[in-house]
Amino acid sequence: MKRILTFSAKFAVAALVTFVCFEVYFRTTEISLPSFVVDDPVFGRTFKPNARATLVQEGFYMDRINEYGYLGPSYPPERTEGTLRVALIGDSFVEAFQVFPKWSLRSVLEAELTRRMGRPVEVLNFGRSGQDLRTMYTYYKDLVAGFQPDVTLFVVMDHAFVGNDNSLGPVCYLDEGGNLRVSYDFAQSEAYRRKISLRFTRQLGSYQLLQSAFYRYRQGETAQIMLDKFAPRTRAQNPGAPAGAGDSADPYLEINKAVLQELGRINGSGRSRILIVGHKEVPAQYVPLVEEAGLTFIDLRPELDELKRAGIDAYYWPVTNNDGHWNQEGQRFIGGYLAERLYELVGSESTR
Amino acid sequence: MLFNSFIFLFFLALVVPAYYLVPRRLKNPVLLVASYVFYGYWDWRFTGLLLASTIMDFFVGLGLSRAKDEKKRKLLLVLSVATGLVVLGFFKYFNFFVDSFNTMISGFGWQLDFLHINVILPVGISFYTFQTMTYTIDIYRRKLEPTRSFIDFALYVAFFPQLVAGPIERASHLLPQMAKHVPFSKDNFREGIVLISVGMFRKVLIGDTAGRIVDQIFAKPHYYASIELLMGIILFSLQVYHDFSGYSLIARGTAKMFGKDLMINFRQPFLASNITDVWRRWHISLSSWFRDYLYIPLGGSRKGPRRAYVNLMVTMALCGLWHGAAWNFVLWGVCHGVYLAIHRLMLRGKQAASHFDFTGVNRSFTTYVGKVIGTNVLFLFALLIFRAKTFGNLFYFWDQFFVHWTPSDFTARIIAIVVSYIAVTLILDIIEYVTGEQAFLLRLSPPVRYGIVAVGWFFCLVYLYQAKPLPFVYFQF
Repeated sequence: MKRILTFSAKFAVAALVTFVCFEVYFRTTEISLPSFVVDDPVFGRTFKPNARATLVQEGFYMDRINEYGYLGPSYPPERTEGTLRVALIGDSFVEAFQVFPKWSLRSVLEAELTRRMGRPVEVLNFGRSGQDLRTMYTYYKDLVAGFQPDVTLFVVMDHAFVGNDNSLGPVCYLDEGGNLRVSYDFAQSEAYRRKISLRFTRQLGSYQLLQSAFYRYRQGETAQIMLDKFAPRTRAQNPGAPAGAGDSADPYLEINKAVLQELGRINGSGRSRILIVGHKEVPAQYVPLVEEAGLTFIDLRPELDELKRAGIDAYYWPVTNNDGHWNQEGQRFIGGYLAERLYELVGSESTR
Repeated sequence: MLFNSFIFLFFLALVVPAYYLVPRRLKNPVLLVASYVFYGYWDWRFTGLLLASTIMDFFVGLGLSRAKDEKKRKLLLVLSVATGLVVLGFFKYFNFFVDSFNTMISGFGWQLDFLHINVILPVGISFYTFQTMTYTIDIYRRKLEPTRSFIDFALYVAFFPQLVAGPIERASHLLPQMAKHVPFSKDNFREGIVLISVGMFRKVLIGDTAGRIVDQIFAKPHYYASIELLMGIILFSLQVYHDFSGYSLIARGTAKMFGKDLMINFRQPFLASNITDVWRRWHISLSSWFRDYLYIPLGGSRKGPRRAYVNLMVTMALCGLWHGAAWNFVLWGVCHGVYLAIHRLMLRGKQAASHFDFTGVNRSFTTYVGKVIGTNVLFLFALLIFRAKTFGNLFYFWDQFFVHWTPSDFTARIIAIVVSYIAVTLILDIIEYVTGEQAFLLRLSPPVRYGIVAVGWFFCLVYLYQAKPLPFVYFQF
């Protein structure tokens, strides 16, 4: 018995010391840093202020979340007079965790707009991966509006309309009168409480590795990873509710419409000029809804197609040899193009 | 099949018990079938090439031992070596020579583009071709008796732990082990597990993690500042080292589980204080192959100093070409040839230090460290030629290092990352050097060893699960 206990104790101590060594190694080499994401009772999943982030996937990203919990330089909520402030809201494309910050859409847009406007321009990046149009709206309402942007760009693709942000966060719904409402009940949910009670695990670098592994497990990739060529063939994942004009299968049509109308009201009130920027497959029925709401729709698709014909694929990544998010060339092109369009649309009218 | 994959672990879990459970006469056939499955898993079509190469060299070996006439013996040797080189040349170098020739004649307005053919490079062909060559050459030199067992010979060529990326075993070392069967031994098994564990750690958690950054930087160097590019090349040196030394350790560990000993392929090369010593410690099975089967037959240093330098340059240029069918590899080899020639000149007939000697009156630790750093800078300089792929990229790196140094937003973090990778490399290498063994964990008491190995495997498996495994760098050679 004593032998077994001694053995177990020595084993446990050795395992613990080794675990600590690995943790130090993961952090110092930045293979896996403590999480830069936190769960907030209002915003849902958001960024942890001042946290370091390094990601090597289809591209390579390295930066620090700013002190206000969004991406890019720390511009405070209070504005500087004479400055044009632009907010970017979108999913992982806007987040741009694939390129170094100086090559991101945010940086290019800021530099290019400053050059064109001839006065200071601040571009704030509120991109969060997985966001749909509804969660972009709540993020705008709860956080972004507080930074008083002159112009807000909602960068959307098909997923923003027909997909669903599954993370724990505020949920848009229509009340009985058909009015748009936001529920923050998630903060009272068991799942949220469990996440909060386990938040210390996010302080571990190794947690990120486990988190990524868990993500792949949830995606149903275990058989493929384990069995490789022997893995049974699986059906293609359901890409979400089907899109199409007047398609009754779109479960989010009514609520998306209400969100667009609400954004149109904000646009009309002069609080912030709101533009919808679409890329990839924006479902056809939404383009007239955007215009009906009095919002401007900027369609990147023809421009990106033109760019591809010129030999530059904005989505292609040489290391993975696959299409993915916007690469450096894509970010640069889109930043330049949006600066040109914004200059045409906004010009010098938005100075406060 | 990649060592750093779950499917390999399942494969090993099946083959090891099968090997020990079958009767003695079936052990080698079982291992041979497993080796062909391992190789065919990548692309079964090339198992035919492996088999053909094996059959030919087996019979040439027998023919060499029977032939009394020197002329006939020479003819057989030429047949074996030439066939091996022609097959290797076709699969690996055909397009390289055609493209180079095209570039040359395009100056005259001619084009021969139609000669370019799409061939897939069979994995491991450079390794097993060199390995089979040692068999026939050693028989020709009367240093080795041919085996009469085709199965033993086929297993020597195809033995899966070292088939696709070495170590390039000499027939005189591995072939006799194929004829001998070691009963299951806990010690061998334990040593095998420890070697595989350390190898996995080196490959998966050092080599691959560094490699992912390296791939990004070298894919689009124009988007990175000077210090980031510098990180790219330093991490590449560590990636190649851990990737390949990790592979060699897994190969040694796997072979050990079957009671076979494979040679040590790396001995702390980054601690060497001169470039000659680096080559005694880096990819030892290849460097010693070139020494024994090319440099010495060319005359080595026996035909005067001038000829020795020529031999050195030829050997290193071909060593470069062995690594890949591109001019940057040749240039890398030539660069090392120049380093070795200069070092040879500096030594003036003395022997190069072959151990980490920093004791004694005139050899302070500081001098030793200075020499190690200098040697590594030279090594990195050459390695950039190796990795840059295009001369455009190479010149861009040089421009960023030596002419237009551009600042980074992340200098402190970049330095911290590089220092951390170097530190873990030094820790592993120093432990290996001090203990004198690669399976250094065996020196620890069982509970401590199991604790370390369990946590190490846990993280290796989690990493393998969450990130697509990177193939071994040397597979492309």
